[in-house]
Amino acid sequence: MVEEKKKSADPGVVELLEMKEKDETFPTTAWDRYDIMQPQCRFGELGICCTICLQGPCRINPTGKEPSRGVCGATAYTIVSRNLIRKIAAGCAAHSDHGRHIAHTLKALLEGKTDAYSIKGEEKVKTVAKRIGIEVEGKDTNTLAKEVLDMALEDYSRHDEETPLIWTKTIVTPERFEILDRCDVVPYNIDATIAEVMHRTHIGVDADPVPLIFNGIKCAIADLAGEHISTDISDILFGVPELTVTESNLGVLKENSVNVAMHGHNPVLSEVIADVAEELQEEVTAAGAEGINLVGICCTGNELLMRRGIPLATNFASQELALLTGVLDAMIVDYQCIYPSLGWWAQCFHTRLISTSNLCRQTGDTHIEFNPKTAKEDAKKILRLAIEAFKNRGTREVNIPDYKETCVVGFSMEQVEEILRTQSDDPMQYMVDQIKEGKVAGIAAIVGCNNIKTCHDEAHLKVARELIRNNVLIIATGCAAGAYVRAGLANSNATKEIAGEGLKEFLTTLGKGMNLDEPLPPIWHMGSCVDNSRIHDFVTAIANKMGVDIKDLPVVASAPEAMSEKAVVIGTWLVATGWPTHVGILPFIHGSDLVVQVAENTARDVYGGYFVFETDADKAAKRLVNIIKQRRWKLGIGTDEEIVYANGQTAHELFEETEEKKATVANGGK
Amino acid sequence: MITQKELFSMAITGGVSAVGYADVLLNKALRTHGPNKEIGYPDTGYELPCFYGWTTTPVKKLGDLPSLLGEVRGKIMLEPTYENALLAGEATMWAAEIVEAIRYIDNETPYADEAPPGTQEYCGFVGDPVLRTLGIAFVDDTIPGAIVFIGKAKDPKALAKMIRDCQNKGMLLMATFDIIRQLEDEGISMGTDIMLFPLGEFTQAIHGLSFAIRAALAFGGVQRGDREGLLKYLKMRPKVVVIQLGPLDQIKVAAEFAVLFNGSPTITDQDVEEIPGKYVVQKDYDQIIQTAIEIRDMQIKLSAIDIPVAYGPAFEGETVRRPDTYVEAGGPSKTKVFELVKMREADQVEDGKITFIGKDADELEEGSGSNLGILVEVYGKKMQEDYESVLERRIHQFINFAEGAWHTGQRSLLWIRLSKKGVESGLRFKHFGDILYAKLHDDFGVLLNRIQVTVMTDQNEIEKHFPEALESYDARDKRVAGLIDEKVDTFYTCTLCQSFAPNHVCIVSPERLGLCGAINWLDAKASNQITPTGPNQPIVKGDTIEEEKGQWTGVNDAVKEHTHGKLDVFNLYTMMEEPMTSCGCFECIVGLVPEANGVIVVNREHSGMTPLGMKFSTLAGTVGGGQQTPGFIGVGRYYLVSKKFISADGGFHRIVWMPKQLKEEMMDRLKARAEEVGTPDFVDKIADETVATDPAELVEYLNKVDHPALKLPSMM
Repeated sequence: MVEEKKKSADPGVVELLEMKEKDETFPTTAWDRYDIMQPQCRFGELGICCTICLQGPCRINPTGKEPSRGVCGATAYTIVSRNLIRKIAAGCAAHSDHGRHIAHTLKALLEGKTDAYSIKGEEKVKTVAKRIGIEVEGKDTNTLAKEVLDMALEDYSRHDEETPLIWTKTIVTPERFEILDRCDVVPYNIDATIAEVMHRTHIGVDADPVPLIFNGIKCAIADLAGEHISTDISDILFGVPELTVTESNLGVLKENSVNVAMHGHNPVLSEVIADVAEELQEEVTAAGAEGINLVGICCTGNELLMRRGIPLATNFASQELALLTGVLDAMIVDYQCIYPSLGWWAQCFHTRLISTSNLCRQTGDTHIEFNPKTAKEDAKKILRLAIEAFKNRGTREVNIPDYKETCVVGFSMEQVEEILRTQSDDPMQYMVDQIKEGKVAGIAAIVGCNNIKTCHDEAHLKVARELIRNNVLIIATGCAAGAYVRAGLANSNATKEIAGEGLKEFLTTLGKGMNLDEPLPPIWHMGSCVDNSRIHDFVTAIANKMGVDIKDLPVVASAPEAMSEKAVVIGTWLVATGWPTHVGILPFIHGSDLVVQVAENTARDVYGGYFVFETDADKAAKRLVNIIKQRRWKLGIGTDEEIVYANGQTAHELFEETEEKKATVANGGK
Repeated sequence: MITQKELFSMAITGGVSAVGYADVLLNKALRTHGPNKEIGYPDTGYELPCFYGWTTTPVKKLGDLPSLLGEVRGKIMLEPTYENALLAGEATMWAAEIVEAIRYIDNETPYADEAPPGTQEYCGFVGDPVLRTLGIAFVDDTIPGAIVFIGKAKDPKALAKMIRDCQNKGMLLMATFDIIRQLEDEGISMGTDIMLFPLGEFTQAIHGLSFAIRAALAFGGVQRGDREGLLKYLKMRPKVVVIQLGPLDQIKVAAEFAVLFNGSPTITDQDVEEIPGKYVVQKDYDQIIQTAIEIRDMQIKLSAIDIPVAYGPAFEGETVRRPDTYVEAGGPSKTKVFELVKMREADQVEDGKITFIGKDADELEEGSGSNLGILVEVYGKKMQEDYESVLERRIHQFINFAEGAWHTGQRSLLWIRLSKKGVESGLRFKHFGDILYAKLHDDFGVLLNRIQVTVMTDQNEIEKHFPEALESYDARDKRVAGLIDEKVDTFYTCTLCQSFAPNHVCIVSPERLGLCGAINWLDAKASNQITPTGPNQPIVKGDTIEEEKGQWTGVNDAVKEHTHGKLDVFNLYTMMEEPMTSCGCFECIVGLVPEANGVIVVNREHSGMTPLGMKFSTLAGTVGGGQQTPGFIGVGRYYLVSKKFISADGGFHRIVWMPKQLKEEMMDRLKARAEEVGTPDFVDKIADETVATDPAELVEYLNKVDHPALKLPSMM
């Protein structure tokens, strides 16, 4: 008998899933549907199914026999590259459109068309302005903000092909810009770059894999710009996140409150909802509730967690289960990573599913389109629907899993600098010294999604724990960060219990510096997935301080449970900016040896970063630790032990595991 | 296990990736710089060498490249066969050359900051001067082969042992990727001056191949784009082997097939299905170098010498600078020093007796100066007194071969240093005895039956031998002064370089030494004694045809024979008509400047522009390879002060320009020669790069100083 695969590392989620199993009337979950979907398409998995033109679908025989080319003559490497970079373009479109919407919100504010917003991050306006080369002296905040906004919008609309994106040129190390420029992957216009990829991958345009992939990389660099613009303008509008202590996981739902979950990615609406919630207290009381309990899901949740300490209820994989608690009165969604099943789920509960973006509707939802000009009214309208729903809860069983954990969040770049400044007037130098001394062996950015193919959150936790034990400081965003705050890894206890000695000392010193009795957590939550820009900034600042590039630093990135096209694009720019990047789910490229080779090896030669594909989280963690040691060695800051480790048999054994991985690939990643 | 088919497949996808990459970078560079942007590497006369060797199309501008890249892109076939893998290798070679050339646009040292902090600077492209400096050693098997290390070793200690082994065997080494850092960890010095080039990572590896191709072009007389000739030559020399340590990837394999395309094999420690003789597996690090030697049939001339530091030609160019010096003898320390080789009777020499008298390095204070005497006493049936100086001059090289030892000067003017690192590793003065005993036996075993060496730092002991030394030097000088071309009836050939430059022969006379500067008439004579069938064959001058120009029947016959009929007339004393050819190893180039009615002299170390509008490296490209090029000759520097220096063309007074540094290095000899010809102030009239780098400036200067060349008959 085959033992049933563990579905989640979150005991609350496991409880709800068990409960769901007992009642056949519930809709299916993603886990169910994944099982039903088996076996998944092998051609699709390998990336060698092409549906770009209507002569297809064409698929290449992965065993080397016929068909070896599509109808148009495209070989596996052309098909895989085209499919891959279309994913990159989609990811870039999502992030950068998000940035555009925030920019448009700032525009509405500056043009006096909305009263729902103000500039809460006045200092941020100045720092961004300075960074992008705007003279700040003698200008008031609004003037400066307008200039910043114009430059940001220009990155979406520039027609001079010779001028690089401002949000590329001003955010990377000089050495990195030189590499990117030489490789012709510096975009001049975010939107045009997406269009370029779509054009290039149209039937009968580019068939040459490296130029195709490089266009994908250019689009990923555009994505980094879009993400950075999102973060910069969000901070300008809503303030720069600061250290906050709060709680997370499904246990934050309250039986006697109007529970409103905000799900998606863009904070422009959720911030207003948080602003106006208190104004409705009377109506709430009248409805018989104690209050409105705002909670977050996914990255809208991360944005709220970072800036307001609003608890994160759950992350991507378990979004449907939030309804199963029976107490969720409204789920407000903006966009990205919203399961289309939610409409169906909402139909089976009292929960109101309210979609708010013109881009994102669900069948079975209530669509209340959000508009900056009427934001406050929209927000109230939405909350009133939640209050109505609360009244209609009926007698359904309440199942709030009794799990929640304390979490310390709010590690924006500015906050991190302030924390480090408690130790030295030159905060980044202090960080550099800690790394050089080996107290902090390195930095790991753990990012990305959940993926139903692997046990929910488990890979996130395994990779992080092993790295923390090895004195690697974790900076996290997105659903990875969502996993840590809910599992109790983003608090002082985690430092005390699992951090290696050096890391523990570092975090304890900083905790004292911040006048806390406790050490800082070993995982620094930096925000939503667009806030990977903060990860980039932090590590770029370290690189600049050391006078090197990210490719030289003891840093790694990992997306243990990568799922979305945004994860694909993030991984791509991480690699293109010099990060060794682990991906725990096999992307759809293994149908082309060439593309896999480029991702795993050639990328390292050209960009310094490279992909590490490893589905076994334990092995992945070991390899990441090894990479940190290798890089410490190469940078000339390795301890004797690290040098032996980086050079010795262990390093080679890890390489040899690639053989094993090949076998995994041959079996379709199972 | 990677099967052959998978290996071919990797090479092919690697080739596809490489040309795609090059194409992206090339077109970006074209957009930035335009098609007329000049491209090329510093210090080479071979444009982009991989193109120069393999195609007849000149490559001078960015705009020349797209059609060439298209040519190789068009050759890549996807079917995984050996032939297709080789074609992908060729494509990868050109792609890498393009990628690298782009790095050198507007930047002569693009890799200055590339290496991680604290690591040896990557050298990237290695210029022609280094190639030509190695020249002589490259061609006489002192350097038995060249090994390019790629990847990362799984055992850095074993890697270091391999490197030491190679250095002791005299090999030229190139390191790439993480291996550079590993060598750094193991305390192994690297540099273009010590025959261990830290090329860099990724496409920088192409510069290893480029070095080999240029060897063929510079020494082999292979013409631009003579694909067949080039491949034929490269299969013989230089004996290149790639050692690939650690995991393979498509680009590394493609690069290795690029090398294979150029006739040289790869040895790997990975699990690969072998291609016999071409892609060979050797997982035992202790056996890798032996496998390399066997696969290329390298001739190892150096025998192991039991001293505590590495020993080989790699360290000949190593300089021990003042701060790194533990102890020095002679030079600025003004201590009493001498070195002397003396022929004795059989019963006066006990073979193998090595004596040290005085305090050795470990008993001396760091930073101190020491007296030093080196007395080598030899006996041999074939030994002649004339050879004493030949043997004695070799002491310089033999000592310099030791890592951490530095020797310059000669006789009682020598200057020796031992480095701190060397002394720390156990190097002592007494080891000079071991070295000289072993090396003199190796190289002159035929002449010498017994050798004993006394090394002394004790003042009294030195005083005892000093008068004999001075007496010997004096007697030799008198003998040599009488040694002129007219007084001998025999010259010698030197065909040492024919392994590299098949059609070149040097004619060595008492007053014209070999153009490499390493072989004078006495050397050649001794060499012929040692190896009667060797490269130095006696030539009976025969009847005089042209006395002034230096043409003799016997010499003409010899030249015809040794150039395989390519030349049949040869003049020793003129550079204007049927002059001597050059292999490529010349110390200096002498070139006619018609406007100045004289010649310039440029030495290989000079990287700047000359009034001829060409740098040394470009000039060298036209002079080398066994061609007669009237108006240009390659010479050994001491020929400049010979009475026979282009004596048919006006001689010494024709020199109108030479680099400042060369002038300073040769100042004493130049002045002596100037006085000899009755113009004591002549040396000051020779222009240098500080006053002229083009013909107009040069003529202006010559007029200003009233240079005698202006009054000589026209040279043309």
